[in-house]
Amino acid sequence: MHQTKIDVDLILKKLAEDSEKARLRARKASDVLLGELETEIAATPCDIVYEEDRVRLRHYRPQAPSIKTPLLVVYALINRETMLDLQPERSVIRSFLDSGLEVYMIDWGYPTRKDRFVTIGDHVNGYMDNIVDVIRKRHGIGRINLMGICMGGAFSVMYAALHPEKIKNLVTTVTPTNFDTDKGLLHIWTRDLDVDRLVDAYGNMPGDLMNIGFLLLNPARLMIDKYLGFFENADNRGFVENFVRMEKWIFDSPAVPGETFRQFVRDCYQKNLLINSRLELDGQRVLLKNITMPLLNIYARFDHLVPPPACDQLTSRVGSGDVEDLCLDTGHIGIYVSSRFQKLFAPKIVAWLTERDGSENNETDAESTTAGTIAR
Amino acid sequence: MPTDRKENPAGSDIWSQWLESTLSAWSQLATPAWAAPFQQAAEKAAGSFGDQTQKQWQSAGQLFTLMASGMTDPTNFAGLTNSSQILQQMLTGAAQQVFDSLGELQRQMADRAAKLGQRTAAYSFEDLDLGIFDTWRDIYEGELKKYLTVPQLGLARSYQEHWAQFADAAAQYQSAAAEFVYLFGVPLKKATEVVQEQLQKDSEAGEFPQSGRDLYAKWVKVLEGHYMRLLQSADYTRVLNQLLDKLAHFRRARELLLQDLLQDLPVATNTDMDALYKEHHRLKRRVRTLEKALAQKDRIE
Repeated sequence: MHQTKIDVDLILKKLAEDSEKARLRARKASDVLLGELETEIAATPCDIVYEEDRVRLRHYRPQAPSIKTPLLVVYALINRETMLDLQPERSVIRSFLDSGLEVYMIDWGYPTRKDRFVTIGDHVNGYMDNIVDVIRKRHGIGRINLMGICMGGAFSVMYAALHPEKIKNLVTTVTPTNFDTDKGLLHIWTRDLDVDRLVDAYGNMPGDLMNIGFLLLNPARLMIDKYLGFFENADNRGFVENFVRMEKWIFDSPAVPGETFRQFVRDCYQKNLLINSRLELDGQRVLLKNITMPLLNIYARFDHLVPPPACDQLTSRVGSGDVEDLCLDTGHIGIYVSSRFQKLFAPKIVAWLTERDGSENNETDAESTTAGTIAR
Repeated sequence: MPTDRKENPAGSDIWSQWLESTLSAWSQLATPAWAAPFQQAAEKAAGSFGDQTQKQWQSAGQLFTLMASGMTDPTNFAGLTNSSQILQQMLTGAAQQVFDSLGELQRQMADRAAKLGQRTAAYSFEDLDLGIFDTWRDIYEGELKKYLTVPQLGLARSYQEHWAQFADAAAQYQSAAAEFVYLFGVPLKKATEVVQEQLQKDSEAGEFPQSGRDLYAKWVKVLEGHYMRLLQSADYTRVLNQLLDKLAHFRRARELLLQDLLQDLPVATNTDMDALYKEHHRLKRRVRTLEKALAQKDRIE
């Protein structure tokens, strides 16, 4: 047995110092937590210009438009689109507006039991197509720019393949298209998931149940370390405000319509049909070769939800000759909310769209009817 | 004990004596003398109703005395005692099976307790002892579940069946949840062991974390590593999927039970509403298709 040589005096001195610091911090933290905090999210002004069932279309106007073609942002059905506008200094939407880009964004709302039979086809060929027609009609143009995020990116890929005549440029961000990979835990876990039993039992897939799944992706950090970090910084008002904003967003989780969830897990995660152009929506084959418009595909190197192998095959499968992959050294959410990538992500998209914002043929067939209500 | 009773008719003698005295009492009750003074008045007041009541009373008394007198016969008495023995044997047999199984479970738990002091390899989840959960599942499936799947009979059959299904689903869900919680806790144990070992080595070298924060940072990093390994293991995927499966099964069984309760109340059940929603969805799709076809036609014209 070795003789231990621990400097006990030093440790005790350190402990005394730490406890004094903790006491001071606790006093300041109580002032911060009991005081007024600015934790509002999605504060950028917008108009609701279209509504259909639970779905709404938000319209954000730039002060000085510099890009002719508006951009439609399609968020995932998991969590909410408010992530793109968490706070003024960390807002992708605000960055777009400051660059003169006119933005529309779909708010998928909160599905209820009524929506349990709504399929991916209903989202893509129904809601999305109606919304694209509304924007085309409002601007008197034939094609718009489309940007998809995560599952919303997969929907955008499907839409662009089924309705290529309506899309001028396509931007996909952290978008899973290839599901045959072992790099992401979700891909491993869903492989043998009995999705039928879950959907039949729940109707819609509850947001809280999915959130538990996301927390289980990294329990040590997401369930322990994160909150310890919060208590260590509870005396820092700015930190607390940002933390609360993020918590508000993370746990604002609508349910996913049952049939959409079933189809996404079965056809995408389990059968990997999308990347192989074998997916069918409403009886139509989603052929990636039909995606002939320019495509910018952005993904994150340290994304544990949608790892690079799930994203990086898309550009080689589409029919477009103008494609670009961009892999950023960050994670799934960091790409949109980290201060560092705020300076890189939105400006890159704006520059890419500006380069391709050539003359647009104004002939439009946007007179088609839509099922919702258009606000003017 | 039952055999003794067969050979020694003392028991049946006492039984016969008790029955005979009861018979005599019932015979008197079947033709009640106390009722005579009131009979005429009662007949006048209630017409044939009082008469019918008395007849039913007499008939029931006679039926009982007939059955009871039959039981004074030693052969019939033996039959009765045999029947009660069959039930007794059945219950004893069932209890024996359950106790045997629980004994096996206890043995496995004792084995596990004996292994508590043993170290398992860090960052390895191949050597986990999940046998106890399999044993419990075997006991439940083999010995207990069968009592919940006994065929239900009669008017309330489907309701009883739903209760049994609910109890079965709840038991399976609890079992799956226990296994998941156990597995999920393994990295905590392993990470703590690894950090303790590391601390021991460091202290022998005269090094020690300068603060609790340093110690925590070391522990959480090791813990994260263990979780990353566990979450990718086949065992974890199996246990997670099993939990989700049993959770869905439990939820479905609970819903069936609730629907039984709700069907007599003016409340629409999920089944009712789902039928409507499905129809609504079908019609909405049809309208959408027609709208688009109409718009296309208008454009062409």
